[in-house]
Amino acid sequence: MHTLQTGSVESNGVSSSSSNDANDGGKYNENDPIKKNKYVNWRVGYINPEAFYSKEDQSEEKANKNRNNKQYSEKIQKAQRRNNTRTMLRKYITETMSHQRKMEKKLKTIKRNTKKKYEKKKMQPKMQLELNKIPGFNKIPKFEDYLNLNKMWLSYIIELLNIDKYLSTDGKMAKDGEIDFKNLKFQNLLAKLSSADFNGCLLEVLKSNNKSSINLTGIVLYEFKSHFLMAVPQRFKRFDNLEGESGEEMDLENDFNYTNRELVGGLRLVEKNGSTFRFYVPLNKDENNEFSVLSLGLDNEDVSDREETSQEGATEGAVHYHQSRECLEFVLIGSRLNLRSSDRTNKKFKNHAIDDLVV
Amino acid sequence: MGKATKHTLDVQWICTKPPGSVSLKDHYIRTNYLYQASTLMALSASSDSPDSNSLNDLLSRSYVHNMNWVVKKALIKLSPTIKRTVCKKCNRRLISGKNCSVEVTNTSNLKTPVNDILTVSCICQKFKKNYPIGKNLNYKIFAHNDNLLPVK
Repeated sequence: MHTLQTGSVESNGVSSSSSNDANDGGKYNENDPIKKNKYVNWRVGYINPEAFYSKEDQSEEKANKNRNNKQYSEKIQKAQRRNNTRTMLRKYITETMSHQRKMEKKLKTIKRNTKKKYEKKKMQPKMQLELNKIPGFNKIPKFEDYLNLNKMWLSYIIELLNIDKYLSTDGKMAKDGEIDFKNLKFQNLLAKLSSADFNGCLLEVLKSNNKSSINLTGIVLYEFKSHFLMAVPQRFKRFDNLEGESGEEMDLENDFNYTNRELVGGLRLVEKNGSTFRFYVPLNKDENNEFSVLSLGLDNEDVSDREETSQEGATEGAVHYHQSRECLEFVLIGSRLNLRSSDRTNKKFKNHAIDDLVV
Repeated sequence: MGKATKHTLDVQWICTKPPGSVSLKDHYIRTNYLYQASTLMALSASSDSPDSNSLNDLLSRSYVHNMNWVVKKALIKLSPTIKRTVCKKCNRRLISGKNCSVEVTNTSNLKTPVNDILTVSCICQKFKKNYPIGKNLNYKIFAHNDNLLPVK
């Protein structure tokens, strides 16, 4: 099958051609800047690789050419060889993390200046910023861009767990009354989850050694050996107690009630070791006939309705059934998952000698 | 051992019923998901100002990198149509106009259409692949044959 997807892209004013024109040859003008090679009959989607790479890389290369040190050039060649997908991701994360810290400092100065104005008037400070208009915020990746990935993941996990028959239609249960979960074998599900892929999952951190990452929710972008890379929304309150110092309800439209870190959002790294995670698999479809994300402010009011179906003996977590929302709830134990995601394919988890099974 | 016999399609290949259950289905679903996620990330990478360090581009590469490792660990095989849309060096999901350029060259003097060669070259400048497209226009990959399953 040597067919081509033609007509996808036009670049530098050259119109796309159909596959029938391949044998005719020489249809274009000779003065075409793209058609430098005389042997080329036609070309689709040509990109100049020099324009593709950013200007910073080019300037570095020019600077390196000027230096004729042999040792210096060898060093750079070695570094360029190490430009894998893995190392480049790591480099990107460190750059954006430092950039986020700069943005936090920027917000700090904005808050301080506005607070002085309100103190002169003897009023409580109030402010609502348009964060995306502040210069520098475009570089930070946004939570909303990855909602499509989460939709794709939900359809994946439903296909993997094979729970299509339990899905309800039009907001009603498939069967009359409650769903029969007796036929659903949870141990089979857990064995499948141990080899599942968590890129694109919406995770909530229940417990961790690092206090600043408790109660974070975000979409997992990549799974490292000992860390989850998550994209966290802007202006998301981590804790449920929305009461201020005076006992009144917190005004969520006021930016002074958020910390600078909550305002910025962006990327976070959460350690697996010593932390537990939670995620939901919905059994309801949306109005648009899609599996949508559950509401971000996951309420903890319905804790009493929760029924624990299987608690002990689980390899990596316990399964609950959330009655009010019609969804399955899974809890992962991070210290069990302390492996690379590709190494988990053939790994078998054992039930005995589990110290960390405290949910 | 005698001489190696030529592989011919004269052997009886008759379509029978496909197997009821697929073995290692979980891993096939996982590779399928990773491939789809990498295409979504590659398409959503910014095309106006393409930086090599944009996050969506890096994520799509790392998903493909993950996919290749899952295939190796689970001892399953990818179909060649998927392999041809992936760069072997930099693990990019190849999309013409975004990552790669597709062209037909003919180096023969008479420019006979038999010698047409289709080349796919990645933006990383390390990977280039040639397909002799002119030799047989009706060529089919072996996996795409209709009659595949053998009789016992």
